[in-house]
Amino acid sequence: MRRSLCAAIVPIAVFCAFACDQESTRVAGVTQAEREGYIGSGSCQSCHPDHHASWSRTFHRTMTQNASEEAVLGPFDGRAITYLGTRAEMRRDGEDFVIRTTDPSGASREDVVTKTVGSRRTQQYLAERDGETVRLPIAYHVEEERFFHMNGAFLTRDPESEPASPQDYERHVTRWNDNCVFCHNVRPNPGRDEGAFDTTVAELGIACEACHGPGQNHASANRDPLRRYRLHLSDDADETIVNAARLDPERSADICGRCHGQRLTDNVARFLQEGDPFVPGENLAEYSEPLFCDSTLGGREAFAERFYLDGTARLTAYEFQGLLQSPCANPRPNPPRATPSAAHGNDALTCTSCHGMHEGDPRGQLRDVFAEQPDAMCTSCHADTSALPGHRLHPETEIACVDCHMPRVVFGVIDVHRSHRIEVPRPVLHDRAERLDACSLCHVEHPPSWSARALLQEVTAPDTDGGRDQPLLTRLFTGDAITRAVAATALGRVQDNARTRGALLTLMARDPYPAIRRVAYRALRKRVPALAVDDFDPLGSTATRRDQIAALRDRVPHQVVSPPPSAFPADDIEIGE
Amino acid sequence: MTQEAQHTACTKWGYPQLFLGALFGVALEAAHGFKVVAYLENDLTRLLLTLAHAHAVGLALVVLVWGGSGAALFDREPVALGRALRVGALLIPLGFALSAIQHPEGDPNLAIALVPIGAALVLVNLGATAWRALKA
Repeated sequence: MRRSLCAAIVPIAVFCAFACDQESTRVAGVTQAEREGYIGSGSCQSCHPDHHASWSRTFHRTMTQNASEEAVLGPFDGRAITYLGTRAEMRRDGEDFVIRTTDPSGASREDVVTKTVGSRRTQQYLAERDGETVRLPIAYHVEEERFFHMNGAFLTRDPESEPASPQDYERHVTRWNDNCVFCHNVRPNPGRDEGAFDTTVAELGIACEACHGPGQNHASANRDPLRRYRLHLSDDADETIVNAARLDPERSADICGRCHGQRLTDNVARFLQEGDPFVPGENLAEYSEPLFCDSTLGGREAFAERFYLDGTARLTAYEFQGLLQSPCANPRPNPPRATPSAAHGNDALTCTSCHGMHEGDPRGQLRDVFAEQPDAMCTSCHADTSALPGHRLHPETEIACVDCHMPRVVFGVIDVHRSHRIEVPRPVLHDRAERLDACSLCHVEHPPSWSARALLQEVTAPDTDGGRDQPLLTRLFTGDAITRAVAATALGRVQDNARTRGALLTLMARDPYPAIRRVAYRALRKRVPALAVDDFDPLGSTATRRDQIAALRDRVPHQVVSPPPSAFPADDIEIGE
Repeated sequence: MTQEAQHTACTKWGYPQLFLGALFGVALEAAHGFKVVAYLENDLTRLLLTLAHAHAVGLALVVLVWGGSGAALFDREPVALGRALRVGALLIPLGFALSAIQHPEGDPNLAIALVPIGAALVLVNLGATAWRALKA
């Protein structure tokens, strides 16, 4: 009998000892994030396997990762690229992923990749330099399956000299600790202290607690099965965790706006020392305000280039601003934070009206319900409007609501995306704002005034004077960098003919911005699928590109298009990030 | 006489349960073999059904063993204990199986409450039998 009791007690004692040991280990290594109740997505998985699985397949999960066989998408197999005289070789050194650069003078350096950022379109690489984590100048283009230099990722010109100076080569090497870290991780804290960084995150990438807040209280409380079943059987909210679906539209959008809306804070020092204090469910405006075209930094308007003249964002990561400016989310007109409108009230549009974080194609994450019927995003509220005679000028099988009301005029990550400012297409007004209008993105040979008249909108004489009222095929050359990128991308979707192919070839040959040459070539490849990615290197040397363009002109049937005298404005914008 | 009555009752109960439990196991294997998505896609469902199969078979054997030897340890016919064991042996696999149907994420449905009830009944029987065995 005594022996039996001993046999029963020993396992219990071992279990208790193990449990105590686990607790003491955790406390000994406690971090700021742990003190604040962050426990990591692994702790959520056992109770929420479906949600964990649906999140795991998103690009949010892989936004930032430690460098590993699984995480690193680029082939570090010894291949190399040479950009403006500097050679970068990507290879393995044991377990390490190494980028070795050798400049024209023969000087070389090796960077060991410690983390990766991104996994959908491009993947950037981070390394440690002098106690800081920096983004390296070489990235991997996932869709094109080739490495490229970051000078080709942003809207910046080619360096003036060839070979490039070291400063030109490292132009886009930026510090991760107080930049990228904020939007690409859970509970980031740069940990800046007298110029040095002790950066911590609760979890790399955008994981559960980025949107639901710290989960420790939730996990602890729900170890009680009676509590869980009480919640299962009721419609009550679990007060221990944030569920965006139960928040009002404004607070729900704040969660996404934290990263999908560039912001300004009055307390930069606090952000750098302690991290972003915003916790999902709170009012984002308590800590920071979204950037708009008239936002000032040090008393001057430093961000105007990021917006069209009518205040519409022309870069990605301003989707939150677009929502705030949209009548559909009218509780917050520009400037935001007004009282809820009578029209929308608590039914106002928010991010999750269209996007589902646990559903849909990871590319865009539109909710499943809209996969077959994208127009339902709008008609679920605007059924009457869409049915008005004359409202829909094109068959719904060809043109969706968002094609006119959310045109693709936003640049980011070497691609062009939909504006998230939902609006009525007004070609002439948009032309005045120096942006391409929705109609011109398809009717590339017609000026905005033609589209406006088709929409029965008024066109006055000044609207067609002073260099205005140019069709997209002209703006392809005379527009600023973003307009050219938007126009080139539009040519990849519509109007395949010899003239548009010729226009794209001319843009590839003449545009001083490598990113625009890249999107132009991608548009051309959509027109001519037989072309291979490697047939044109937008970052190749001038001589290389000249030869490649000549070869492409021989292969691609096209009409020769010469740029107008006002092409490629000398005072063009440059946007590095 | 006491041993014989309980032996009969447990035999009549145990073998059919053993058969049904084994048959259920074959069904689960078939679900694996034919890659039935409804069974494979949800880890908790699979776990609960596997537990239902394992407990159905295991507890059927316990019922048979108890009917064959455990009941004989008692001076008087342990009618209540026999019923407790048999009902418990039924409730546990039934609770696991039923709780796999339309369960909330991460938890079985409310039918899982049958499991601790069944476990209590089985433990009462086994505890009393163990006590009698130690005293014997």
